[in-house]
Amino acid sequence: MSLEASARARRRRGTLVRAAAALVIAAASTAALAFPLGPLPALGPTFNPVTGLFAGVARDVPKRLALPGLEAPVVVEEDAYAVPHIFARNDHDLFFAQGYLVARNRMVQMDLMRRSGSGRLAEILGPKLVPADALQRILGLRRTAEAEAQRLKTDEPEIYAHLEAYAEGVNAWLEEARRAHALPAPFRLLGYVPEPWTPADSLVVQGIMTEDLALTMQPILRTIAEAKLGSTRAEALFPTVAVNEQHPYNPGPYPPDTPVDAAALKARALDFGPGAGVGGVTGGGGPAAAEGAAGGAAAGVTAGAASLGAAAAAPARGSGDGAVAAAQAEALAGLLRTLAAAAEPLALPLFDHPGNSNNWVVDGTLTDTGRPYLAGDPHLALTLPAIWYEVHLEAPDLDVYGVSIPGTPGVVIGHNRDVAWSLTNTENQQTFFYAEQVSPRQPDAYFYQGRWVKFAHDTEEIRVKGGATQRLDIRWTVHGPVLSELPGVPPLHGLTISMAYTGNLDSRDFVALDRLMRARDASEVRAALREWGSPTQNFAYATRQGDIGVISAGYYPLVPAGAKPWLLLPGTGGADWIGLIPYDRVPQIHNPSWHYAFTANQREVGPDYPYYIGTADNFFDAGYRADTIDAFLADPRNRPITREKMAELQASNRDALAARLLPAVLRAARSAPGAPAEAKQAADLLSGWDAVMKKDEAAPAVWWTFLDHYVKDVFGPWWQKSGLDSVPGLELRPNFAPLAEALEVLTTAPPDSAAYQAVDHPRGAPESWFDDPLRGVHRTRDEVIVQALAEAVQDLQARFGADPSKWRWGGLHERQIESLLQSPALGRGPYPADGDAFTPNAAGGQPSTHGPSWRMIANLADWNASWGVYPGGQSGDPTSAHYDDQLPLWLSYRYKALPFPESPGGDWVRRTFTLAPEGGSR
Amino acid sequence: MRPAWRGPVTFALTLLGLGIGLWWSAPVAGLVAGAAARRGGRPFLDAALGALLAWAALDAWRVLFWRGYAQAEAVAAVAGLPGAAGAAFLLLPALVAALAAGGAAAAASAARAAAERGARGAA
Repeated sequence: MSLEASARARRRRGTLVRAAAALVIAAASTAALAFPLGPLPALGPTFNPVTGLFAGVARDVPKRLALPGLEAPVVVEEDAYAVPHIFARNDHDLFFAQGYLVARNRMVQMDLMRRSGSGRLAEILGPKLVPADALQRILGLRRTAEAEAQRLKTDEPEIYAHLEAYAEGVNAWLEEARRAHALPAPFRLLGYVPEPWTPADSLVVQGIMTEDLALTMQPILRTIAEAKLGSTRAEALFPTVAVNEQHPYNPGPYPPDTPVDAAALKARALDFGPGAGVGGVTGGGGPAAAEGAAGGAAAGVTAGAASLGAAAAAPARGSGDGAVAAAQAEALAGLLRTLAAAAEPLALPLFDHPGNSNNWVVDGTLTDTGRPYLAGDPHLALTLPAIWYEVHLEAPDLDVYGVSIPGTPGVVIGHNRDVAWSLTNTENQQTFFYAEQVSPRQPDAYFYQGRWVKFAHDTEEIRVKGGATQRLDIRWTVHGPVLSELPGVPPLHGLTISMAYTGNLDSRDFVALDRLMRARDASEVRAALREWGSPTQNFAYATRQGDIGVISAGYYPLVPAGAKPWLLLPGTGGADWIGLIPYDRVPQIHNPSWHYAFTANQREVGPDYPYYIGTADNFFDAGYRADTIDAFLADPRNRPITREKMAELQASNRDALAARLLPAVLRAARSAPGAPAEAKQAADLLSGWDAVMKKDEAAPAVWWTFLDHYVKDVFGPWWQKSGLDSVPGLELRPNFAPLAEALEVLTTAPPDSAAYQAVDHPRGAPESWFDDPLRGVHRTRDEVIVQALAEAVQDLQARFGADPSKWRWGGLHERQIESLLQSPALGRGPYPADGDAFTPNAAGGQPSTHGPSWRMIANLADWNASWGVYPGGQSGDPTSAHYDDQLPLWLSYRYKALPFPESPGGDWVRRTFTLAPEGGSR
Repeated sequence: MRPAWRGPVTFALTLLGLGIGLWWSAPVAGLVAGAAARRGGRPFLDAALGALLAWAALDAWRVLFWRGYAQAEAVAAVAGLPGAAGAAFLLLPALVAALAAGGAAAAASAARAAAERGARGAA
């Protein structure tokens, strides 16, 4: 070979090596674009500037958009806040358009809610969500929703058709988004395409609201409290009816008899779970038939005989029912810890309901217009995007404005041309727990009505992103699912606990809402709400005819006299649900002679109400918001009541507990001999304070810090001694409603009064709550008050410095609007905030993450002069101007007008577009 | 094709491909331009720059007209990163695509050169 040829060959080899190296670079780079890198999705398709996630930005609907499935053109007008006013020619197109527009703005939220309720989060988020999914499968939300959908399809085809039309609209958007690569970025990041929407999905979303508002572990907490504190002391702190001043919206009198509606329960019971035992256990038709189920009547009671009178409802003294051993109480605390950990990603409140609400109505005799006003502000988790989507829906048979929950058709709170309504949570007991009797000799059965009954089995598969599919065998009894099936639950020392929960009854809420949206007068409102099931809600309503009222509609399960539903109930059949409170006997009031009605989650009725509906241990709100609302509406200085007055009350930061306790606290501080200087300083700061929790003042900071210490100083030694301080849900905190009520009595009632004695010396117990059982020290009330005042000042000095002029409530207390995607940057706040847990402008917690999720004032003299606002915006896209455009208004207690035109057009319109049937217009 | 066209051709093909959803158009464009152009110039740099400019031009279009930077910031927020990290979601894929295009062009160009040498040697 010549030298030249050799050199050429070398050059050629060198060239080939360079080619190979370049090829490796090209292949590696292409692979880096093609495949996911750790948690990152594949960069190439995901970040393609044209068809990647950047295409998922929210965009305006074109002037005319053809949508397959529509029957006729639908005109949509948007106001300055992108609230759509939908004008359709029929109900189908109306709900279709609603579904389409909501999905266009909130698909991520809708899909997360659907997955959360269906126990399918691990599929997209990985193994850490398996416990949450398992909990949700055990609770049975999806199963109930599927069963409800089937019933609705058969029994109420028209309502089912609305759900279908809504789903068609959602799916029209999904199809369009898929074709246009316009799915929102989170779907691209998580690497999945949402499945088509179904009517059952809407029922799942509705079921999430039931979980949020009706599910509670309270009876387990109370069982633990009884075991650790003793029944006498537990009953003193958690009585059926609190002994402090209450503000029921219907103070009575009530019909004395107590009929039971067993037929209603039987009609609403699904083929397994709660209520299935009414009229005999069928056990069939469930996931697996309950072989060997007992026949015959489960309850076998006659109306009246089985109901609980007020006296019967009072906790019996020292009875063994529901009592558990100390080891079992510890095990129950472990169960709660496992449940709480599983529920945490679902933001499921298991122990109390931080989201409470207000509503009130005033009739025309008190107002400036001569027509009623209605105010409503449901307090829920404040998130971005918000729980609400505002909408005006108009079709020939329907004309309604209000807020809807993304994923569900219609509006939940709002008004039509004749009627306005708003909701608060009733807070009655809707979750019951049963200790099932089991035996090692009958490994797959529980003892019920004198015989062994096979558990029904439901095998669930939880698919896991990046992990193996998990199988879960859930056992059901005639009461409901067995909670101890949740993986990770510690041994319960012989306890097998099932849960009877109204969320597992068939609930015809969409039927009720549809009829409510079409109601023309008070009688139609009442007829509509007969259909409402769970969660039980206080519907305040007002009509153009001038009627006002409140109906606490929904399920109130009843157990036989003598049973103690506030504790674990025996599962052997004697304490089963026997029926519901009949609709005409649930708490309600119509056109009260005092011309207004209000609810704020307080116990709706007085102590004479003849049915058991829940105890004071965190079922009902303490009633301090109700106190402020009642006082304001009753005050002649506030007449005539105007729209502005209604707004003033919604923004009220008056803490009625502070107003009640303050005189006694100041008296104690000034009269105590040798009180430390800090206590005197606290008293000086509090004297002259108006009990209004303003963010820019020092006194509210002193007050709340004092209250925190006061609760802990009084009850802390008892909690420590009994071991309650380690039980989740029983942590001492200033807004622990039953303890606040007890402290009010202990602080303000004369020591020789019956109320004081009932709380401090139940059944003659010699020790006082003010005593310190840990150290065996006797303390007086004033000593503890002075101590707490001094501690409050020391805390504030440590935090803000010695100069009280620098102390601010807003420095301690902030609002946080959290992102649903758990991203701090996509949330808003924290904002220094007024209010606390006891103010009408509800702002419990530090930071406060719950509160007025929608403020509405309906003006029944002129609908167009109604006001509303929510802390967010219509769009779920963080880059949209409508992501949070209502938030500044909300933060400063301002509102926006709610235009309610009868036909398209008006100076409020910012954008108009037409959704047209595909293939031409008709 | 003259070597000077390598960059513009890569730019055009990448732009076209991305426009119809073909994120892998950058390496393919580099490959085509590298194979089509005669020897000379800097194949890697020409193609990489072409692909980078194409990707960046479309990113700029998103940023200017479609709230693209805000989207990128939102993506960063979802990932738990500071908003400024959102720029990386715009730039990183563009840079990797440029590498892929450059590598493909260089490989194709070298292969063409090797083939030409082989042919000349055989002649």
